[in-house]
Amino acid sequence: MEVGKARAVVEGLREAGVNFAVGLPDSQFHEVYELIAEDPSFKYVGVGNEAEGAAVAMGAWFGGKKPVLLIATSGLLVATFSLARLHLKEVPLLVVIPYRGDLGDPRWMGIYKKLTEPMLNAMDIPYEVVKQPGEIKKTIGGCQACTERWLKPVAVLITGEALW
Amino acid sequence: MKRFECLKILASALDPSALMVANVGPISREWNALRPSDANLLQVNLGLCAAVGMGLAISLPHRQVVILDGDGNLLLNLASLADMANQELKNVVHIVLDNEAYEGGGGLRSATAGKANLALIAEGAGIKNVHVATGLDFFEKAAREALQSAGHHFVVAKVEKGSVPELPTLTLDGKEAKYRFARYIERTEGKQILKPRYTHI
Repeated sequence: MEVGKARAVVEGLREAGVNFAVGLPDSQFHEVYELIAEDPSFKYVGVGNEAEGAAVAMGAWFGGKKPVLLIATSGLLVATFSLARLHLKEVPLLVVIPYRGDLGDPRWMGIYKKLTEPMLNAMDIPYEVVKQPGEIKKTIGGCQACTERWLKPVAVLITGEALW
Repeated sequence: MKRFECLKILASALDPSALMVANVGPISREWNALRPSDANLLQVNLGLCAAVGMGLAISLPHRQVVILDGDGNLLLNLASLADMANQELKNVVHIVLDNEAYEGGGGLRSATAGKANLALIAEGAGIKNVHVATGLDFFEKAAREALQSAGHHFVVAKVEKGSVPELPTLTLDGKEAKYRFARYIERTEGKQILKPRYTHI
């Protein structure tokens, strides 16, 4: 992905007040992980699986942080149990997902993309799909405000057109 | 040794301001009977207890965070141990009440009833202060030392299955638990966690 667009994601998170990032490094988003890990305005915690990541983020929220969970579409499937369970406590969590898998992308990406929106809908997690790079920051800001007010996870799905 | 007896020792040794994260099942019910407090976050779901404790400990490095875990819980997310070790936490006491069973789910054996050894797994993950207690005297010694010293402490307490009769039931649901715990941290840390939903009133 273009570094300029990765910067837009990181700036969008910073401007939204996010200060705690949890992720399992993924090849589609690795520029974002690297920028966040180097940025002193974030505490970045790498985890071994995405379900654990959602729980770390919940702990950070109770600790007064504003967390984001950075995971791939495949990681969303691993995080599902943890994310669904967050609803019992109703806690906010911004989830940012690089949304590859359109026509022309590798087949395995297409399989995960097909499952993403149905999984989010099944878990009653609202989401916005970002299709243009100019929409990245504004969408992240809006979704972060929403997750704090609605006390439920909200996801930002950033497409290939927006990021690559 | 009985889990409830271990928890009694812990309740007597714990600083009232320590934050406690406990997993689903009998552990939460027993702990609530011994130390009901808004400083407890109870009924954290299977496999997520250590991770929630980690997030809390990283965010509030000046507060002691005690994690009350179970063997089945921890086995679901062993990566938590490696990730916690790499954070080099100075404020965590992680206690695993290992009854070698999924007691809340009917009592079938967990992997620690077989070949798995959580203490060795924790050491392999990079955690240095690891203890295994099979008797109450050693558990008390290990727990008190862990609670009174900085660092990341991991204590496996080998306990029998079974709870105690006539425990009060937990009447908090997840939402109320969230509000109580978050408001407690807001009060004691002087920070805002829950944002008002109506800013115009």
